[in-house]
Order: sequence, then C-alpha cells, then structure tokens
Amino acid sequence: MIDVLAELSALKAMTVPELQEKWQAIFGERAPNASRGHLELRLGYRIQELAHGGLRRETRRTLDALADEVMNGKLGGMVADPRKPAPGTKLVREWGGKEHMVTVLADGFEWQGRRFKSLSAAVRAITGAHWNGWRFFGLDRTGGAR
Amino acid sequence: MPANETIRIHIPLTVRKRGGRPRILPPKDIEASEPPPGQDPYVLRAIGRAWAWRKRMERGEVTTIADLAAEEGLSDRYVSRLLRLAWLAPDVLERLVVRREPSAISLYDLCFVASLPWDEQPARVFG
Repeated sequence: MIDVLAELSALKAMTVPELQEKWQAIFGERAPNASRGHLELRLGYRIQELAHGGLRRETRRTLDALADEVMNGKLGGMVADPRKPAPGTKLVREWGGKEHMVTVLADGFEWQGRRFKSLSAAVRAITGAHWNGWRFFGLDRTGGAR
Repeated sequence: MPANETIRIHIPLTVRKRGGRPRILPPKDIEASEPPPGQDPYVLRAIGRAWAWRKRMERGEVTTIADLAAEEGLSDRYVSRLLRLAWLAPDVLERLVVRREPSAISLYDLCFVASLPWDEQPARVFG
C-alpha cells in the first residue's frame, strides 16, 4: 500500500533534478522538461493512479469523443453550441413589418412548419438574404439576449 | 426678418425602427431561475481540448508544451494552464464530462485544481 499523501508531500520537497530522477524511476524514461509544476503534477497523478486506479474506460471513451468533436470544430454531438438556447425556446423578430417566430428544436430550428439545420438557414428563408442567424436574433455567446 | 415672414418647411419624416427588436421566449417548462441543464459548453470544450493535447503528448507527437503552443498558435502559459484540465482526478473528470455535473468554480480556477490531492478535488469543484 502506498502512502499517497506522504508521497505527494515528498514531491513538494524535492528539487527539480530530484523530480527528474523520480520521473526516470516511475516512467522509465527521461523527464520531458524541467518545469517544476508539470513534473509535480504528472508524478503526483501517476502516484495516485497507482494507488486509487485511473480513469474508467467509459470515461476515457467519452473524453476521446469530446476531444475529436472539439478538435474537428463541429460542435453538436457532445457539446452544444453555447449560443443555442434550450429546445422549445421561441425566437421572435420583426422583419419586413411582420413578426417571425423560430422555434429551437433539439436538432435544429423550425419556422412555419419547416425544419432547418442551422439558424442561419432559417433566417435565409425568412429574409431571402444571408444573415448570421445568431446575430439576427440577437443571441450572444452565452445564449442570452443582447 | 419680421416674425410673420418665417418660412416653415415641412419635411415628412417617419421614424423607422430599424431591424426590429428580437425577443426570446423561453419554453414554458423551464423556470427562469433554473440554471440550464447540463455542463457549461465552455468547460466541456476546454476539457476536450486539453484531453486532445494530453493524448498527443502521450503518443509522443509533441514532446513539450512549447512545441504544442507554437503549433496551436497559443501562448505557453495558456496551453500549460489549460492542459492541467486533462490531469484532473478521474472521478472529477467523470462527473464533469460523463455525468455533466456543473462546476461550481470558474474555468480559470478549475485549471488549478489538478494540483490538489485527488480526494480534495471534488469538494473544490462541485462546492
């Protein structure tokens, strides 16, 4: 049984060369750098991982999927666009003297019975011109009204 | 010029409201005071990014934070701060990402929680 807290506080007392030595002992390779914060964080993580176990496979998979989605720039499956209000929200705006109401759906938008994948597409149907849908409805980055 | 010779010019003006004012009507079943369900997308996005970086470093595609930062066009400080999210305690990551429990602290503060022992992290993150 590893005394985790003792090991962790020992890290704090070590010099950077000592941390690098510990790195060599734990990971079996040269420490990647001499950043005290980084070495301490990673060594501490490994010590606790050995004692308590690491990430569950399911969590790891979720993180992988999340990372893929964030890195390929297309939010949707895991992370909703932060500007998008809760499904069921109605966005109302006057255009050409008339009020237009778009309903936010879980997977798109609805206007006059038509479904749109993006808010901009719905706004294009309303105005016939290209608008940024979020701007047209005054939605800011937090999904609130501007 | 005598007062009775004042020339009056009428310019017809209609004040036009440009663009109209958008309104947002929240769905009836959501109370206004209730926080939106699920995780803050910014927190999720930051964790996803940090996780992608952690994996790249573990695969050896990039070896130093400086290389990673240069590649991403970000500052070293920012990258090394954000990268810490990937080293949060496993159960904290699970609660944030899988169970979508909202964090009680800001994303900035969240980045520094990874330095705490694992058993102290949940209380700090979830309040």
